[in-house]
Amino acid sequence: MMKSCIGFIGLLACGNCNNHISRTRTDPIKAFHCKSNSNHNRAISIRGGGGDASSSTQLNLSAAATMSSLFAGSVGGAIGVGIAYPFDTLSTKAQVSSGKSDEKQANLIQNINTIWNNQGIHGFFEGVFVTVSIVN
Amino acid sequence: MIGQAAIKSIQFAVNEITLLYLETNANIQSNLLKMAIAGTLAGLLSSFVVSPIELVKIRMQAQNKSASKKNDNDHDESDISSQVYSNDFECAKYLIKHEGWRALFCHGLGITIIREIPSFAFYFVAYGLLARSSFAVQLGNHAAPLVFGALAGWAMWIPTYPADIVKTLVQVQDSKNKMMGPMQITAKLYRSGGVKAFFDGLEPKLVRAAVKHAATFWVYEIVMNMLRPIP
Repeated sequence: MMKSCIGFIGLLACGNCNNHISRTRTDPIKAFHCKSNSNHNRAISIRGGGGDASSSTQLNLSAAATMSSLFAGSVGGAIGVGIAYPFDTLSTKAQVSSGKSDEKQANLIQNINTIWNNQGIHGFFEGVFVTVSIVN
Repeated sequence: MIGQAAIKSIQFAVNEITLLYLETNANIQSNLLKMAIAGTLAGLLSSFVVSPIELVKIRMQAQNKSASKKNDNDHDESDISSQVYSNDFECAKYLIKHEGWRALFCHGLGITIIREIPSFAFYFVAYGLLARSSFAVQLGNHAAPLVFGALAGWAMWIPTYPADIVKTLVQVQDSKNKMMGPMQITAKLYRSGGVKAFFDGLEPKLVRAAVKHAATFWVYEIVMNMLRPIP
């Protein structure tokens, strides 16, 4: 039963897997939210259930699952942020121009055109390298 | 990736240790409150890393490459957007050289913390409520994390977006010059555009949140399935 719940994340009520939403993790973007097995045990204990949670095999499994979810969260997060990055650039452009009251504000389409005409696709990804190094 | 894994470990550990501590030592009944407290602490501590990285990111995104090419001769030092960087490292190097290490880590740190704390609290509470709802069963194993993640991402962004816009406007300023603080920027923004001004650029941010969460969850699932021991 424990094996089937590896990767399960703590916020969800697993109820010893009877409603098995076990693969619904809290936040794969942030691997640190993904508590895997260890959190599974905790989820059970929070709800006052028993849970045969403390054998050394399970602790090993828990460590392995934690490392896995850390790794998976890092990969997933990096890809997710990379794909969504152009929207972040557009948002920042709008924020900066809204701070300059002297300028006439460009709308979303105008911003897209300006970036595209000036720098092409590259313009949408300025700063992506440093950002992918952390996922927020 | 390595940097990210290190950061994740810090956040992970903070979140984990806080949760364990609250369970054993604090008499708190509500799981959501526990999660919110743990998330708040993780958010607080991660702010110290998020702030310098987003400072570089914002300088990169705010630069206006075509405009500066035209006005290369009358280069205006006071306007940060006239500065152009060829890549992220050059931007960070320029920042350290002209504004100092202190600016890299402290410029905009306060407003970053103000944004991060409610972000994380909203995130955990929203996800927790959704995950415990009946929708979780209806949506199933695959759709639930995608949909709930995206919704939680929105719950995290909509209330904290005004803080994000103020943070961007704080960090886009050259810290060597006389700067406006978060309160002054808030006042100026309100005078110029009212409440609406605090939500400029929200639409792409929400699209980003949805795309980011969906893609991340999807990849995460694939990687976890590859790593998961076969029962």
